Amino acid sequence: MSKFWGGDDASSDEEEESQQVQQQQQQERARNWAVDSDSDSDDEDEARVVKTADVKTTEAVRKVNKQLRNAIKINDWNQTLDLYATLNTEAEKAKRANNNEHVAPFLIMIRDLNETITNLFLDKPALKKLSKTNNKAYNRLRARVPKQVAEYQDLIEKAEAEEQEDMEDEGSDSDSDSDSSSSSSSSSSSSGSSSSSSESDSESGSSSSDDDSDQPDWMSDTSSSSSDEDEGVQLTGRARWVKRTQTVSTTKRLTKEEEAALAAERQRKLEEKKRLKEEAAKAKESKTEEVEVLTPRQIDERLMLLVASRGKKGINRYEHLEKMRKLVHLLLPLGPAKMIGGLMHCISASFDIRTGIDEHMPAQLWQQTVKDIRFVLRILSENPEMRLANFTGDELGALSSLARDKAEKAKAAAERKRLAAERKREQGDEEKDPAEDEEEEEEEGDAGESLLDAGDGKTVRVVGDLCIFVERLAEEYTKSLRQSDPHSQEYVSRLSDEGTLVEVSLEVMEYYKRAEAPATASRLALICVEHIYYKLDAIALKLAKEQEFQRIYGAREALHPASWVDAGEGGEMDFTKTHPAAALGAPSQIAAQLPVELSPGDLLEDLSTFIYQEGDSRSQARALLCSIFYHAHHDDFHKARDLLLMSRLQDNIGNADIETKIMHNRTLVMLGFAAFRAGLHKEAHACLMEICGNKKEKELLAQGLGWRNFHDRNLSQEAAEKRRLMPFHQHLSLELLDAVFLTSAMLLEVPTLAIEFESRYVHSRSFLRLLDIQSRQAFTGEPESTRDHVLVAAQKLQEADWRGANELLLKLPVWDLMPNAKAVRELIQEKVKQEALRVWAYTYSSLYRTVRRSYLCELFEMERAKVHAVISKLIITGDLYASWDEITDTLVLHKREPTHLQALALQFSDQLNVLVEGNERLLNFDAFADNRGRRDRDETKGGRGGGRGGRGGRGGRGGGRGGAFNSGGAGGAAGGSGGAFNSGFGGRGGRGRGRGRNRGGFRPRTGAFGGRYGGGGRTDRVPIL
Amino acid sequence: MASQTGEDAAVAANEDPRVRYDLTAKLAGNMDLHMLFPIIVWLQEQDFYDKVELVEATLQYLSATRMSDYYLEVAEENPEASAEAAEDMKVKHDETVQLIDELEEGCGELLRILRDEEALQELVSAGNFNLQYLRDEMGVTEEMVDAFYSYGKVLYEVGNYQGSVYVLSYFRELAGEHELAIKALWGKLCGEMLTLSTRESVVTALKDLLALQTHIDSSADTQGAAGAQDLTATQHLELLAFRSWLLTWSLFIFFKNPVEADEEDTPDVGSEYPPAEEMPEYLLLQMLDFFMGQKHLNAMQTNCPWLLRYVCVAMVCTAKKSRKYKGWLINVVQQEAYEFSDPITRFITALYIEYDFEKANACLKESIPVLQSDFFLHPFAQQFVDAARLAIIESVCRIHTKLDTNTLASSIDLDASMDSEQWIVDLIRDIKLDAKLDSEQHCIVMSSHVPEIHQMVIDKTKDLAYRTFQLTNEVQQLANQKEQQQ
Repeated sequence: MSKFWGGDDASSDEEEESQQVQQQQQQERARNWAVDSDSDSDDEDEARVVKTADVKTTEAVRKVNKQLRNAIKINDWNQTLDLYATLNTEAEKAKRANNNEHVAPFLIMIRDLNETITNLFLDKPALKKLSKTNNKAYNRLRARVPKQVAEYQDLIEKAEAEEQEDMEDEGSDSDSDSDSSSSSSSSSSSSGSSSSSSESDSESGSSSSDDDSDQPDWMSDTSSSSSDEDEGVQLTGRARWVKRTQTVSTTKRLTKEEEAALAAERQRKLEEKKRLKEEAAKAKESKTEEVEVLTPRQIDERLMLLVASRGKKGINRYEHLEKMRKLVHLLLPLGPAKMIGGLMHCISASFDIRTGIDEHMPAQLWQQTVKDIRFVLRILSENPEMRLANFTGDELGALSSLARDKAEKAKAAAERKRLAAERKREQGDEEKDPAEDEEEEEEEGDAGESLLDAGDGKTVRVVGDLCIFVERLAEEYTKSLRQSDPHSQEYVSRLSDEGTLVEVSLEVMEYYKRAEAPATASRLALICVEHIYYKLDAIALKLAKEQEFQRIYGAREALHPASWVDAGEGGEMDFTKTHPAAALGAPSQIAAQLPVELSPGDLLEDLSTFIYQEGDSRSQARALLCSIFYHAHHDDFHKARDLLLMSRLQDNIGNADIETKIMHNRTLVMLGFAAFRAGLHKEAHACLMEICGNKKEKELLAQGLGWRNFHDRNLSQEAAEKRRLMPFHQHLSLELLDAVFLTSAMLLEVPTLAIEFESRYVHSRSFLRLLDIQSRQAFTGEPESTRDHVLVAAQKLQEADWRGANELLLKLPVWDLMPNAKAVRELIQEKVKQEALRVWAYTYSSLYRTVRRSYLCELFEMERAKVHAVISKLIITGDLYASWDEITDTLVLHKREPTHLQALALQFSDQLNVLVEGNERLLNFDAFADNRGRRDRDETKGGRGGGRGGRGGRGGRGGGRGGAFNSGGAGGAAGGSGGAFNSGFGGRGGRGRGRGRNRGGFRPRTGAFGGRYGGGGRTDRVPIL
Repeated sequence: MASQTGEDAAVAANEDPRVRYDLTAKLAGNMDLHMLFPIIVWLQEQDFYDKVELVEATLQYLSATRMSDYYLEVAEENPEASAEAAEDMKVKHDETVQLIDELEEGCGELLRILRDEEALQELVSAGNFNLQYLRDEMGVTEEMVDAFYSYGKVLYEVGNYQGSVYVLSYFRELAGEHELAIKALWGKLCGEMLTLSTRESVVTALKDLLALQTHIDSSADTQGAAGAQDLTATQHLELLAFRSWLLTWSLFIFFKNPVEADEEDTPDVGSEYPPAEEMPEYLLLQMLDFFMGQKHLNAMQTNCPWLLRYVCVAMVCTAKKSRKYKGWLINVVQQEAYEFSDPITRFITALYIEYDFEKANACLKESIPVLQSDFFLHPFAQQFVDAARLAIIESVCRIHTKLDTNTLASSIDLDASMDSEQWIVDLIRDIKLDAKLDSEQHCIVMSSHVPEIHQMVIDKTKDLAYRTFQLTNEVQQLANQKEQQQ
């Protein structure tokens, strides 16, 4: 382009390579914002001529200069003032673009302006002739311009000197300039557009004639660059109307004579090149035409240069990537190995686009990267024996520096050759040249072996690692979800990329399996698992179908409604919902072509089995947690629980990394939900106890920042916490969590609350506290939140008012979040009735002598057998002093109210028990603390269990129960499991003991002394026959 | 050792409750091959499996052992068996004979000592039967001892269990801490399981069983202590497998014992073991202890929940003495209901969880054929039914004050012909039920059993004194220890 504006520039007299690199960078910097502002957009208005920032600024400056001169000439100072302001802004722009060439005319201009102003100031009569406004403007200018001139004095002098030089060198300069542009076509435009205003159109004429005289020389330079020229010429006609970027080499204006002379030869070459060119062009993603065709070696070199300049300061990464991608697509005809190498460079550059740890990759680029990876995979699958290997760091460094040297050498060689060619041209043997060139190229090419292919045909050495790339992809994906608003369309559309991600990782996994790297494959399997596990089968299948549909047919919106709206089954049509054109049903082949997918459950099973076999322990744990989550989500509580217990995962979860802990917490919550749905509210409560109740749910599940230690943590901690957050669509409903936890706590706690004079076993302290607060409130309004509802329901339940409690509970909308809300509601109703009956028995039985069984059935709307079972159990366990009278079908109650003295005596004995128990605990704790480390392992374990007991007073009663669910309390868990194969899950054994001890007053004491605290101690002391 | 043949197919095809609830196939998974033969023989006496299939299974299993004589015997009776296999077996027979000869030769001196009973007695009584002495005095080498072990193993394989037990027990004397000693113990236990004939043998088997249990537990602990932090998954699996085997094998001792037949009173076993007539009950209690240990319970729940049936039967049969396990077992049964459920566990559920006595009764009826067709339990069927009825009555009486005699009679499915009143009177007298019969109203009146408040207070505070006493003792001990340290 520079040729249009006169081919001379300040730096053109320097031919060194380093300078050229610098130029390139400079030019990139300039393009940097040209790209940002316009060249990236596909505006058709701009398509015809794309001007670089340089050109634009130059133009603008010159235009303003011209107007300014005119304005001065006619003494219009108003306009001058305006123009002066414009000029200043333009100059600022130029400066910002770091383009000093453009500043030169500006400097000259203000110097001239200053002169005029001073002259006018001396010319008093002329000054007086100015109108008032004009005068005002003049005065303002007079105040400003001299200051600025003083400020730029140095620069102005320099610019003057350059101007002087330019005048002198004009003729000779342009020759060398066009040489430089021919040797490196891409750098040509960086040559100064510093043309001052004085050299304008006439200059371009002379430079083009220079070109012409150079042309034959350039043509014969090398065979490849001559073909470049062909392409360039071929495209001139079209290319003038096509958007072009900087890489487009200079358009030539050939004189007619020259064209005629070359036409025949050109035509011939054109034919054969065209074919090649089309192939390459097909691969291109961008609309930009690559005008030049480079030799493989040149491509390599350029790529190498690009790679070497990657990540350097001041490089526009997008631009850089774009260039690289273009180059890489030229590699396609050169064989799969090279192509893969190039693509891998591209991919790894894509991941460099965003530097900040909290920034995510733009979706478009992400998809592009997926495409690139798939391209690599396709090549790999077409060449099944091909393997990828990594460069070591040293190798890479050495290679890239080698490449840089080589590029420099090649430059020098090209220069030499050019000179030689010139000489030869003079001698007139053009034919020999290309052959010689290639020979030389080969000689050199093998010496270093480019970055792109090293090693034998089967192993391709590349940068980066497919597995890591996919992991990065997954990471970026999650990051982007984390950062976008979950309620936006963007978020939803981003979700559809998850399927792609899973597919890609499956494909990459296949490759690694083929390459016999199962450990790596297992990492990929884990990525899949982690993106599958949280979906219900029904939803996942639908998603998969939809995705398949979209992949085949594109977005639904783009299709005719008839082809996708489902026609009503069995010929019945609802025209409000169905497009009339679909009356005969959707086109059948759409449905037929959708493949039957492997069900997500099976896929998950396969993958996790694979991970258990091949993965490291962290992957194993994560995969396990995922499948537990999955089973729990699908209502398979027993399977999920058994998996959790038999894996002994909880023994070590305290040592796991935070992400795994989070996943463990999520799994526990899911398990709790599953237990609740299965009607096991005790288990549900045990699962959720550690998560709920301390207001840390959000933190523990990584669904938001905890507010608790808001003041303690610093910014980096907060940022780290933010980085761990789950994407919104994976969130577990905290409302539901609250509802499930509180409801199960209510079902457990309220009946026990009703028992009098018992040292009760406290299931849930947090619930009791909440209930206490609730009951102490002087004024209670209508319940609003979920928590309020459950608490008010609990209060009703305390009065055995199951109808009221049910009403409150069942109208909670959160139950609808469960997969089968109806069944859940029925279950809750049933449970509430049952517990209400128990509460009734405890609370009101003392008021009756006999109760008809039918009355009870009526009161609680329960079946006879059910009532019988509930009451009988109470009788057997000794909680209710009553018995059935079969003859009259009534319940006879024997309970008598104790006198005040008796009540006090009972209370006192309870207190005594507590005291002794406390003492025992204290002693035990001491003893163990003292002996820890000296005794054998068993006792140490017991000690740890004891320690927990001493601390919480909760874990002590059943180390298994308290500890097993505590993600932080590995000690308690280990104590609870006590070396037995199962860990001491609250339900297994531990509970039985808990109850037994609970009613210590009535039952034979089962535990030996010292074994009462912590499951561990107890377990180890079970007599062995 | 897995048995996947005839039994499975039969289960699928036939809905006979005896077949449906038969555990042979499941148990076989944790048994030694040789233990299956008595079971199969017993099954052949029953008529709910296809005999041909059973024979086939026998032959198949036999072909994996060295019991060629037995094989040929069975094959002869069943002409349809393949002749080829018989030929193979004959070859194997010859090999075995040769092997035994070789091993006998290899044992050399050692075997000669053992055969000379007098000399052996002398050695043992002098405390000289150990490797050190034999090596120095008799020229017994390590190789001989190893060969001796193999000899015992081959004896077991050919079905000479008694010989095997004999050899292996002496091998254990010699082996000491040798790694083969544990294998020998397993082998010995195997042999003992199959040769339980006297009370003495049962007692030794029980001892060995417990020795093995101790070994497994301690190995788990030492491995765990030696290993970094916890046992690896494979170690856990191994332990689990060991425990499952042990549990399954122990059924032979606890249920398949011939102690009733043992008339002789042998006081020399010592006061450690009860006299013969109490032996079955004693063993059942031992079994409960063995099974209800935390580790074994966990292993059972994890790997072989079907063993719950045996535990349930044992518990019901020894109801009075096994109260401490009741609550626990009920929990386990409830928990495992999704994995294993048969009429016996359902009976437990109905009686102790649902308090549905009619259902309990129905389950009891259902369980009779199941028990009768169980290799281990069939001698206990009647005992179980009686005990179970008693348990039902007990529960029924506990929750009622007045009860129609007819209801009671029907609830335990009493024969109509029997005089229910007479029966109930007997019952009240037998189980010391605190109840009276009201003939006028045809009902039983239970006396109320509400604890008095003062009784409750006494109960609560009864052990406080003792506990405090112990507490002070412990404190004292602690203080002493500290003193000693200083």
